[in-house]
Amino acid sequence: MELIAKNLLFLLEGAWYTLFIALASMFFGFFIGVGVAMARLRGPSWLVGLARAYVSAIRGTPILVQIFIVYYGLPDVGITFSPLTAAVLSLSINIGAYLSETFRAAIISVPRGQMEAALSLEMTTSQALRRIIFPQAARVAIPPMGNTFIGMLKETSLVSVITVTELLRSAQLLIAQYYVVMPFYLAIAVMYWLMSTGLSSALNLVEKRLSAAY
Amino acid sequence: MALIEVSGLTKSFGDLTVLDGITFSVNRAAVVAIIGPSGSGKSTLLRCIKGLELPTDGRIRVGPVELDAGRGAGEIRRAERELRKQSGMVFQSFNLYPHKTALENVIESLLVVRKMARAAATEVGEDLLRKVGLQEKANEYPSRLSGGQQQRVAIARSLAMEPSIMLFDEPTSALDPELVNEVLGVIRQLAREGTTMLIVTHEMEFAREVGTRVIFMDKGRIVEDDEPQRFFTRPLSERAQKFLAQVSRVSE
Repeated sequence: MELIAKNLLFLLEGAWYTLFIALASMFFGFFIGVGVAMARLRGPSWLVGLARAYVSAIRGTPILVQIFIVYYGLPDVGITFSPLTAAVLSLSINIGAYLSETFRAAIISVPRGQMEAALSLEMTTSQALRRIIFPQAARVAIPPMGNTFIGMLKETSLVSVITVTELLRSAQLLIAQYYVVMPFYLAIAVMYWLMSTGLSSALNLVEKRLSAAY
Repeated sequence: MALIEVSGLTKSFGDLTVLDGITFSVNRAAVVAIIGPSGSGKSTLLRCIKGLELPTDGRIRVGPVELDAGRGAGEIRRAERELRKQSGMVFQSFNLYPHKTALENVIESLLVVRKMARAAATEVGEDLLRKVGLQEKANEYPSRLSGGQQQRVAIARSLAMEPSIMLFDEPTSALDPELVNEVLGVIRQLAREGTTMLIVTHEMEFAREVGTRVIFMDKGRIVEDDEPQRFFTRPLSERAQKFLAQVSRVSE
C-alpha cells in the first residue's frame, strides 16, 4: 500500500496516457467508421470493395499484429512513427473497422420510407442523411458503440508492447524496480475498472438523453 | 393545358414489367381515383410521377417540368429532382419523422430546404395543423398519435411545400376502420378547395364520391378511364366488372 501511495503519481500518469490513447482512438475511429459505413452503403463499387477489404482485414487479424505492423513493420518502407502516434493510429484503424459495421447496420435499420419522405419533401440526399437518417441511426448505434469504446479502453493495454508508458507498462516498470508484483497489478486493475465504469455511465447518460426524445 | 401529361410510360424491374405504356393526362382541379387489383402498378405510377422511381421508357410532364426517359443521365437526374418539387406525396405508412414532433415534421423542409425563418415557418405549420384539425397535437411525437392523426400530419407536411398536385398512395390502407374517415375528411376538404389530386385507393365509396374521374388499372395498363358514376354503375370491361364484384363482396 505504501509503495502504491509513493508511486501514485507515476501510475496516474500512466492512467492519463491510457485515457488519452483511448479517447483519441475513439475520436478518429468514429470518423473512420462513419466514412467507411457511408462508402459501403453509397459509394461506387470500387470503394465498396475497398471498404469491405479493410473491414475484413482488420477484423480477421489480431490487434497485436496490427500494432506491430504499424510500429515495427512500417519503418521498413520508410514510415516511422513515435510509439504514441503508432498506438493511436493502429487503435483508430482497428476501432474504425468495428464501428463501421455498427454504423452500417444502424443506418440500414432506418426504414426506407424515411429517406423517401425526406426526398419527397425536396431535401437533397445529404440533407436527408444529416437531418433525418443519422439522428435515427444514432439511437440504434449508441449501445453497441459504447461496448466497442469500453473494449477499446482495455485494449489500450496492448500498446505497452511498443514502449508506450500507459497504465500497464507503468506498473511493469514499477514491478521491475521494486520486485513486488501483486499490489501494482491490483492497483492498475482498480484504475482500469474505475475508468471503464466511468465511461459506461457517461454513455448511459447519452443513451437516456437520446431515447427520452421520442 | 393539362397539368399532368404522361405518355408511353413504362417501368420494369428486371424482367417484371410493372407499367406497360401508360398514357393519360390530368387537368387542373381534377380528382382522379386510381383503382385496381394489387400489383396492377398503381403505386408505381404515382411514384414515377413523384420522381421517386425512374421510368424505363416514356415521358412524364408535371406543370413546367418534363422528364423524358430517352434523355441523358444527367438531364434525367435534374428532371427527377425538379419533378419532386411539383407534387406532394402522402404514403400508405405515413413516414413521419419519429424523432420530430408533429409541428417539426411539418416545418422541417420549410427550414432546411426553403430556409424560412423559424418564426414564420412555425406560423405556417400551426395554420396547416389547424387545417387538419390537429393544432393541439403540435408538440406531440408521432409515437403518441393515432394512425389517423399521423396521416393528417403527413398531409399537412406535404401541403407545407405548396405543391401544385397532391398524390395519395393508399392513404387509408394502414388505418383501423374507425380512423379512415378523419383522413378522408381532410382529402374531401382539399377536393372542395380545388386541389388537383391523384388518389390510389381501395375505398370505392370514397372514389365514387370525391373523384371527378376514375382510372382502373390492371397488369400495368389503364383498362378504363371514365366518370365515377358511369364506371361504378356500368363498367365496360370484364376485368373491371370482376374486380368491382370482388370488392363489393368483401365489403359486405
